Amino acid sequence: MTAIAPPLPRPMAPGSPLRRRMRRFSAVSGMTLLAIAIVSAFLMPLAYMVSTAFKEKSQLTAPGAPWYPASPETFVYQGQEVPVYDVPIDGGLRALALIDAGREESTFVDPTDATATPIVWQGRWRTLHQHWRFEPYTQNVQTAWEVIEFPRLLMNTLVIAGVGTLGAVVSSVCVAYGFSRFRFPGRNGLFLVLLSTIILPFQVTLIPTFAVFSWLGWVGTWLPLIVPHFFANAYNVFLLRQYFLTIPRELDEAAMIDGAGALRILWSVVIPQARAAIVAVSLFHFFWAWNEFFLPLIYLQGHDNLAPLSVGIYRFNGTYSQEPTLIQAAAIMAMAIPVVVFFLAQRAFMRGVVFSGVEK
Amino acid sequence: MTLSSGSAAGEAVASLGRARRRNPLSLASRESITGLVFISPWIFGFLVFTALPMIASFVLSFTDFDPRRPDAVTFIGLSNYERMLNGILGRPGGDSLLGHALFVTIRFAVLIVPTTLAFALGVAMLVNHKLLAGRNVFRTLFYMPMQIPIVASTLIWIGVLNASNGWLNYGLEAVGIAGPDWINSQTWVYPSLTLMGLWGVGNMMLIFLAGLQSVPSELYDAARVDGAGRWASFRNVTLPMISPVLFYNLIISLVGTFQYFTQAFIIGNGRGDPDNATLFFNLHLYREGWSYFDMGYASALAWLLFAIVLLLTAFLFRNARSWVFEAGGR
Amino acid sequence: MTMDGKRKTIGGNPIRAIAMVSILALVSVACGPAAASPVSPSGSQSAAPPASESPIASPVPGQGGLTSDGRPLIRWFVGLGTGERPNHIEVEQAVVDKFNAAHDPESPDYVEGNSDIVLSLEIYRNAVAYDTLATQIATGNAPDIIGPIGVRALQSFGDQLLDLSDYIQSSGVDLSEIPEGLLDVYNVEGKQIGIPMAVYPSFFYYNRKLFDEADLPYPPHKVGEQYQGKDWNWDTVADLAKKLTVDANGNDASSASFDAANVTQYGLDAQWTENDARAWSTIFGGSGSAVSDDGTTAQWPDNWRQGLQFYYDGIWNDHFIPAKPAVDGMAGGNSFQSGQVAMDVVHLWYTCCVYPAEGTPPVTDWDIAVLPQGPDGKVTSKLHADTIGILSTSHHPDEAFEVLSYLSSSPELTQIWGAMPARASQQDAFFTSLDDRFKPLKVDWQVARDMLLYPDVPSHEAFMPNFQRADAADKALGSKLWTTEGLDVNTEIDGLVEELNGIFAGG
Repeated sequence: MTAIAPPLPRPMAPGSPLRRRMRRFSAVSGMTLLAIAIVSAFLMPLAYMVSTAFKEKSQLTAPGAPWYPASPETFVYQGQEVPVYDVPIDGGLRALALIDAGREESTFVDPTDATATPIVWQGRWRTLHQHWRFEPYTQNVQTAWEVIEFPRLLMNTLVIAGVGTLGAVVSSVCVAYGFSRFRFPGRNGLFLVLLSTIILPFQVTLIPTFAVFSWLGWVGTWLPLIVPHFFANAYNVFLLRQYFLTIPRELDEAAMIDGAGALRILWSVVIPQARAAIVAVSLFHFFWAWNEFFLPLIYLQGHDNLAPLSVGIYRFNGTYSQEPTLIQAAAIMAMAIPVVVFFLAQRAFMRGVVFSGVEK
Repeated sequence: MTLSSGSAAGEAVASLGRARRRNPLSLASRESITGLVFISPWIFGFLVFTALPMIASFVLSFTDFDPRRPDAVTFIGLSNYERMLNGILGRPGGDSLLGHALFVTIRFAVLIVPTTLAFALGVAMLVNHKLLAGRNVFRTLFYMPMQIPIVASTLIWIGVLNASNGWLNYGLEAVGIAGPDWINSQTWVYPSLTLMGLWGVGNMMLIFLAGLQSVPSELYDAARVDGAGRWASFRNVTLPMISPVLFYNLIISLVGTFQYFTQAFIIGNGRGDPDNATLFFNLHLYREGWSYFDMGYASALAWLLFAIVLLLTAFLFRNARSWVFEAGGR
Repeated sequence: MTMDGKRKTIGGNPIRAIAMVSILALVSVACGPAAASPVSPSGSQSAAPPASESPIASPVPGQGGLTSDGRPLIRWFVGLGTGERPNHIEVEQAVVDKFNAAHDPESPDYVEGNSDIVLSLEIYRNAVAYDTLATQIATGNAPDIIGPIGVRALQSFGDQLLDLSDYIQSSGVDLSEIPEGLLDVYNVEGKQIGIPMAVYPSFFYYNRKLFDEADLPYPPHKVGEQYQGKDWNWDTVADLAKKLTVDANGNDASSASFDAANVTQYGLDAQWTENDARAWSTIFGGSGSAVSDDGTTAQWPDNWRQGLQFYYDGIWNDHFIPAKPAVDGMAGGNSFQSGQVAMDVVHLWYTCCVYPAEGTPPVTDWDIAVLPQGPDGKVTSKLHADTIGILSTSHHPDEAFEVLSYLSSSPELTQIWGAMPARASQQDAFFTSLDDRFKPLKVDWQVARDMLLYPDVPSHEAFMPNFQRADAADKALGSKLWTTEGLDVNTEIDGLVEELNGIFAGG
């Protein structure tokens, strides 16, 4: 997909080719600017996240601190680091270091000439403008990396999400195909049952399910997080079935004429037609599994070496040990892979759509 | 759309049988078996991971099961259901918070479901627009918030929405508006949660996008030839053609709202703060079962929730026949 | 719009049988147990105590509380109170490893005559620890010992805990060093469910820099001392706190031009009190109980009403206590460490989370001061106390008690939890270790020792009938007061008392 789509097949286009191109260019840039405006507003909190991840924790609460990662400009005076303010003196502003703060008068020194007599200034230092210096604090990334043992958690997450996704997609395609292309007694009833599992609150089944896994000896392993996905789930099946239903039957029938059986039709007719949906389902499941939080928390309690990233990040959110900067630093690392996967898979996804569009 | 009595695939199978030898099985039952084989993974998984635990929880809903004292469980008949009914009807001895929790949930659903659906469809159309440069990049950007772990994204929003030093109120201040206390106000907490909800539309957007792209462009050409404007071709071509995915998104987001939990749990400190404004049904259920350890009652609540959503879904499915377009027939 | 399923001439499929087999194969790939083996995590299968390989790995519990080689397995569940921070876990694991080495006949450190108990440490995040423990009990997978656990947590699992009285007597554990009153904290309905292990009195942490800036003397370090010629009571504290509350223009809260919408520094807070109305009432009003003497009726004593009113006015009328949005903006609620709070009522465990234990400046220069006299005429220091308990479902109660005695007498545990040991003989060492950690700060720890003499009796976390629900109602009020302006506190309290009466009766 390039930026410029193929020209529209308009029967008559008024004006010269150059004017046409100019008009097209301005339409493209207008639309793109609109999209940039919307996406900027939409992702504003993301900027907050990045900014937080590179702030020192103390900056989060410092009054008057800028929104970007920064540290106060300081000056070392008699072994103490002191902040620098713009002080209005003799009708001008001077950058001076605050060495003794007081309510109505404070004492400053000139950072360029520390040996000069300290200046006593009448006024309230809180009303002064403080000097901050842009300075990303990269230590958060390193700390978060080390504390949660990022590489191991990444592997854990990849295995749990990857294997689970494989199982979920293969099984869901089978089941969706079964529901969309075959008639069997009780099909509609079964489908309603399938759908109703979507609306079943997980808390309902949590205790009995935990008991089952506990009895199997699976608690404290990845099995409860992976194995159930090999039995299809309602979200995927529903989506795939909706898609399969939009694929014209004529294609199946044509394949049958060529001698294809049910599985072959699935493989060579339905799956290529529904490639977009299958990629989408895989992505959904992968990202869902990537961020799944509650079940790993329950089933891997006490086995932090098996935990996925979502749970690892939670470590920074203790009641008495909140580390907002570390949480955001770890979250950035945790989202890096899904973002790349999405960007790449998205291209395949688009190709699939274009391909099947040509066939139509 | 015609409901054919025997599907084409079935006939294919059947005729194949006829071509080779007499088939002992009837046409319909062969098709049935094939279909059942295909759905068998789900049936097995459903029985083991859903049906059994559900039956267990249904049994639990007639007990006073307390997970701390599993041995002391007793059957208490319909008491739990009585308590729910009395609560809804406002009679003494009922669960006085149940009606409130239902009200909070429904009110929120009315706000968030249409908002997110419209937003997701709008974004999908935007990032599908022929005149947009760098569509892949925009798609990735709109999807990106989905990839932030939920604990982190909720905390991001709590930071952005902070009344005294959040970016949103800074921005509003810059244009001369005094921003509200988004998180701690009983009124503003719903718009806040809806804003957070907009960050979760990535999946919806993708589904819409896939739907939009599966609309054959000939249909638009035909509409254009008929002199249809933008709105008319959206109304008469786009909407009907994407109705199956619209329907899917509607169902999923309704169900999601009735199960709304994690964000409310974090933002309301697990208690429904401020003053029970975020006591969504599922949070109420969670508190009954996991804070008060009244697992029997929580099971009954779960079954109530289940029944409500089941009825709602069934209603939508019944209605769907009139507006959801299915090309493949049934 | 409709597309009829048109019937067409159908060709045949020569290998339908093979197709069916393939479907089955596919299905079994999709759902079969084949997937189980490659993803089975390797680290979790070993039943041997993982002495040093991983700090939180634990042996898989065998059936009936035995390890796979038949030794009694004691599982220690941590997370209901403190003890889940990374530096805690390190020390806890070291204590566990030491125990295991001394009890493993094959270890060089084995102590002749010791039993062959295997102790395993299981760390749970505080936020989910209650749910997890309840789930484990319900599924017959309960641990043996739980703790450190506070008074409140005990109310949740109190009747699942073993009565230790007989064990204490028969083993001859020396309790003489533990103050009588503390022992009673863990006596619930005649059952001794814990041995006091760690105590955390509360007091003021104050930021010296902010006092210097305002040119104000530091608050008293001794009970009975005056402040600027006035008795040290909450009114004096309020006046002081107003002077220490400053807006962006440098006006303090006692000035007429003070701008309450732009406060940059607050005079007073009681951070991490968790919306608990009983706790707020106790801090500012003195000891009391929400349960009247008959044990079934709810009440809110006058001194508690005064205390809660003080707190509410401090937030919404005089603005020297931060409301919730302001606290949210302060480093995840760690308001004192943000440098924007001058005086903060917190427990001794806060040494976990203040400079230099945590983070960098803004706070570099702080000390501690005694709490003032309350409206009841007494000094009250809200007390937290931790213990370790044994679940009555334990397969090996004797061994569990042996472990409990070992842990109770391990000073490194209380030290890392930031708790004053309940045993007097361990207290000096504890404060010396704190001094080491807080160098070059010199904190006047005598304040903490003194405050231990003024505990809240009954405890602000004491039992209420139908505890979980009553506790939730109490916190709902706390939350409302913390976030809502313009309430009548007494009306709200009356509402809570009425609600509590219903909850007590429903229990």
